[in-house]
Amino acid sequence: MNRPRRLAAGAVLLGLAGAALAQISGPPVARPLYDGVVVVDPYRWLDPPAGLEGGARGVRQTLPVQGGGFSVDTPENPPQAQIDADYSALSLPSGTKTLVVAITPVKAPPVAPGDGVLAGNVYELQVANQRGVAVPVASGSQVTVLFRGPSSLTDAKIELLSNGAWTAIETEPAGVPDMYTALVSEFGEYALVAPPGWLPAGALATPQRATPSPTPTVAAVASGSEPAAPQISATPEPSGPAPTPSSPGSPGGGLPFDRLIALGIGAAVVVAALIVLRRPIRPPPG
Amino acid sequence: MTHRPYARTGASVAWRVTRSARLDAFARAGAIVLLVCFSVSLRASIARSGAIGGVTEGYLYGALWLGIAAVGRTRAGDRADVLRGATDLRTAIPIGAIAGGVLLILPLVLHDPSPALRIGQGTAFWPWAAATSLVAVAEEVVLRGVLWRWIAVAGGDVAALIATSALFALIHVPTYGPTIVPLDLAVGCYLGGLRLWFGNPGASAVAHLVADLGTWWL
Repeated sequence: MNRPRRLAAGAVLLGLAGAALAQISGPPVARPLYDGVVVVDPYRWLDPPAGLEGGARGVRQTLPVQGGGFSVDTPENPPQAQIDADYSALSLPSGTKTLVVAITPVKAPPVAPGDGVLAGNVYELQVANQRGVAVPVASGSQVTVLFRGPSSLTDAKIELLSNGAWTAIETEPAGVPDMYTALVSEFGEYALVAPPGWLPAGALATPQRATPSPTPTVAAVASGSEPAAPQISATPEPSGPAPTPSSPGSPGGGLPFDRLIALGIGAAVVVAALIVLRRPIRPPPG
Repeated sequence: MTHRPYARTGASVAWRVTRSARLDAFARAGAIVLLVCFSVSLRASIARSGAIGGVTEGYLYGALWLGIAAVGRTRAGDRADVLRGATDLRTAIPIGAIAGGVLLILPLVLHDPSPALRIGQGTAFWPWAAATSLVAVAEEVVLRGVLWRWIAVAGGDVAALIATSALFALIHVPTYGPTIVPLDLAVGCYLGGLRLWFGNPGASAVAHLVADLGTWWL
């Protein structure tokens, strides 16, 4: 085996070992390679800020207790909320044959997180058996939840609304921008919380603070009642000026000066690179 | 006058590159990297604006990269590859398919149970597959095709392997975030090894294609 072949074999083995290690220790979402064409739906709000899209949807699935576990997610692409659980991580009441798993966008409660702002919808996660008996996470066990936030959410934590207060859960980026995951030990109301001052890209105003609404019960979910219908309110808060649109596609018109500078630099880079590449190859001296 | 930036040093496969050819190749590699950075920035801006859908954005991005391959193409490295005994595509393609399959198996074996993540299923399969194939092949033609050759001329195969693997990881950060760097760096090294073994980007392109298309079913 010549030197390039030895180097090639070494690179293949090193790459394979590195990929295996990265799969074990990397983002919790499995991908063979972070690459390719990603089709991302715009974030769907239950209470959309002006200029953003409403129509957040929930999901409710009835699943036979078979196999190792289940994965249920909302219908957006990628999903805005998702539960992945092993049956062994749940405290199944005796006689449980099927589970009703529901993920429902609900109105934001009046209480705000103490460490930031809600970034997207509040989702209520519920699991019940066929008789409507709530199925909790087993003691000492955890299930995985994933939440996707609005575009431009570069830093966020998953928080649980518990006893009238938001509690941060240890959160990891899920390997796709704006998406976060955590292991949780109970079902309930969860949301992504961004650092103070965060605003969704493209928003013309901050979302109106929603009034609290009755929370759907596990029994209601199991009996087949509909999840909370999206209630869209595009009314901006009356106080304070509207923030500047932060996405290029947002209304407002015209190209700002910094974007013109960026375009100019980009054009200069392209022209310079093309000049270098189109030069003839110089002959060696002598 | 015949341009002879490469000269054989004897009857063996050994070869040497003149100093001027090295400098020239270095400048050309830098120019290709700049064009790559520009296209990645453009893609990120388009994605953020939401002006173009994912598949159309893929076509545009793939076409940009094929454009880079066209302006950066070179026969300078061909001679080096020929001297090393490059393998033809008939051998590289099936091996690349197997190598891509190995990449697909890794997360299934090591990451189970894992949350599902639908990436492309918001659209029809065939347009998505076409855009994904275009992007995968275009990336290989540029990174482990023209860019590899220029860097190899300027600094050797090890430099080409390191530089193209690092660039491969970095170009995906705007789309997937910084947490993907270790995996894509490792896979870049893996694909670079295939490119080096076969002397052309055929095997790495097929492996890349298989790994990307496989994500539809993961």
